[in-house]
Amino acid sequence: MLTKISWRNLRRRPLRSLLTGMMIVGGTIMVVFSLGVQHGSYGMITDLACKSGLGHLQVQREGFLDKPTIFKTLKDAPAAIAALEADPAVVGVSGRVEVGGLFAHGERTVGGLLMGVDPVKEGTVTTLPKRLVPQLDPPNEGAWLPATRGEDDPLPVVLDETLANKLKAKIGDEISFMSYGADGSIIAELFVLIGLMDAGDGDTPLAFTRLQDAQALLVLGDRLHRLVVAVKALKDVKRVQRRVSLAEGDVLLGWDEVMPGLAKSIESDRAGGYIFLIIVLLVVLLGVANTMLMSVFERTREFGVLLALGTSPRQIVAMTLIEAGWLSALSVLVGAIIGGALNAWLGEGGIPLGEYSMDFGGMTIDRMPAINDTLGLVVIPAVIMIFGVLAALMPALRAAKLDPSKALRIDG
Amino acid sequence: MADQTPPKEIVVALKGAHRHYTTPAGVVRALDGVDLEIRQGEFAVLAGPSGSGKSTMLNLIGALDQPTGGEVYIDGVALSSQSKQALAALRRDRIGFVFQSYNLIPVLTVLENVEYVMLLQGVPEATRHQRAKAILAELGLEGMLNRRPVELSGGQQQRVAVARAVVSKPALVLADEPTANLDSQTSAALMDAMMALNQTHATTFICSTHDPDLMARASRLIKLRDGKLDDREEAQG
Repeated sequence: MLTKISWRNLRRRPLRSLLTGMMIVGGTIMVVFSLGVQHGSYGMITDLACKSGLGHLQVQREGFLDKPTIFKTLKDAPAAIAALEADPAVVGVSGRVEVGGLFAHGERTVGGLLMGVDPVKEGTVTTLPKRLVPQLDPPNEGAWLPATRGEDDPLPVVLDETLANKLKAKIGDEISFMSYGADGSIIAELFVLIGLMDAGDGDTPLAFTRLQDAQALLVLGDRLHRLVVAVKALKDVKRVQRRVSLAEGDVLLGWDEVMPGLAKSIESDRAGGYIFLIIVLLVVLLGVANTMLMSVFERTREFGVLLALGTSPRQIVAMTLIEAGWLSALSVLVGAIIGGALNAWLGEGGIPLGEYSMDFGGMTIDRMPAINDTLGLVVIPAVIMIFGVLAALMPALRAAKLDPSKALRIDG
Repeated sequence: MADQTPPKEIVVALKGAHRHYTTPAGVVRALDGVDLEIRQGEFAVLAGPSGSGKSTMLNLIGALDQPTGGEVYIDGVALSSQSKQALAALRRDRIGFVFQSYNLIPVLTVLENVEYVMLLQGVPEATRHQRAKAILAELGLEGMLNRRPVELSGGQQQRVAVARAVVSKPALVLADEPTANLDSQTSAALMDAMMALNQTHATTFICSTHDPDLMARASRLIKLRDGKLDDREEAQG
């Protein structure tokens, strides 16, 4: 009956309850919607960043991330590939080798990183093969690395557009490369430039050649430096990390470890978003506290009667908190439904950015998609609801501490 | 030291009970050293002019207020030794209240108002319904179970309040000027109802009143003046 009394008390002043409820509904909609867009945008940016070159996950030799050298190859790449490909959330695994060296064309020499990538599998984990930039003078579309190469065919290389510009190289030109192999020997090789690409905004000039050719050139045999992994959705990253076990010495790194700068900037931006949440929580706190305080003041005599009849102070507190609970729960539910529906309606299409579109890693961010996730749609609204209930604690304690003989003398 | 605890058949005992209030104008002696015993089954009426201490005495007996001196016993239990929770439980289990202005819970129906105390006591729902309906029928309110207090006349509300006070079979019912807001016909009907409950259920009643009809029908008249028992207290009926 305490619940019944609380519910009916809420309906006693319908306008006041409605106004307070609308305030909570509005706050919840704003929070759910803004978090939906925020999380949707983070998801899209992260996914683009992963697909632009580094993948959602990477298998590396322990310590390779901090100090990459040609000698730190994977302990057991075939076992890692088998384990990853067996995971239902994994959509692609591609091996890579890499070495730093000097690229030269004519009189020009530029330091950079040569990466050996699988021409076919790379397309299942990143968008690199799709990011060819056509050469304008003379016009030439260029090409991605061929899956196979004849014994007498020249070694093909695709250069980051920036590196090609520094070398003043055009498609069809010969590019020489000098470095050292895994056996310590000095290596020097001639490549033929077959395509230019936008490899993103990284500081290191990049060049891509076929994995098998690079392994042979660097005297690596069938050893690999990295496995780049793509998963169905970002949320699968942690799951795959939990599920897949590797040989000792190999590590499975998430995108946030491979790209700590991106992870950090998202966290900073997320913290900014929570300031908005705190403001909404304060508004809810003050709104509900004010409503419940007014309600307690108005019903002082009634609380006196309830106490006189033997209602314990604890039951008075419970009754008041349940009343605030009804108000908060219903309002938050309505707000979460509307906010969630708004996010679902916007969905992948999101909010178009129009003239504020930006390029990221060779891909254009032209919208802010919205998503519904557990944090934005369930956890945060639940926090708002709990705040709504806590806001009634002070008025509830005030009601419970009333002196019944004095409260009964109050008019009203 | 001699045992001060009153014998079992004494439902209410006041031993040198004082209730003084400090105001800017000085100390108000609302109750000033009252010794009183009320036995089980009595229908006692507190009479006296306004400010004589009737409501103060009812508040002390009802465990709604604490004496500034002396002691109040209910069923032999000294109230000053009880915690707030224990006093709430005592009010719930042993005392029924009828207030001058009815004080029904406005958001509950007639039936729910009458059931409220039994609900606090943990009486099963079926028993609650049955007892509440029976007492409401006894008081002529059987057709009004689902009405809200605002839909009732003053006399009907006061009968609901009486039903609420007696339904859980308390040892004691305290009524603060129960007929003050009622016309003479409704007052008479309410008095009939209370007298009948007193006689059939042996419930002890203590009423404060200015109503001479109610004084005339009481088994005991207790007169108060300036916070003290008037020497002319007389037993009746």
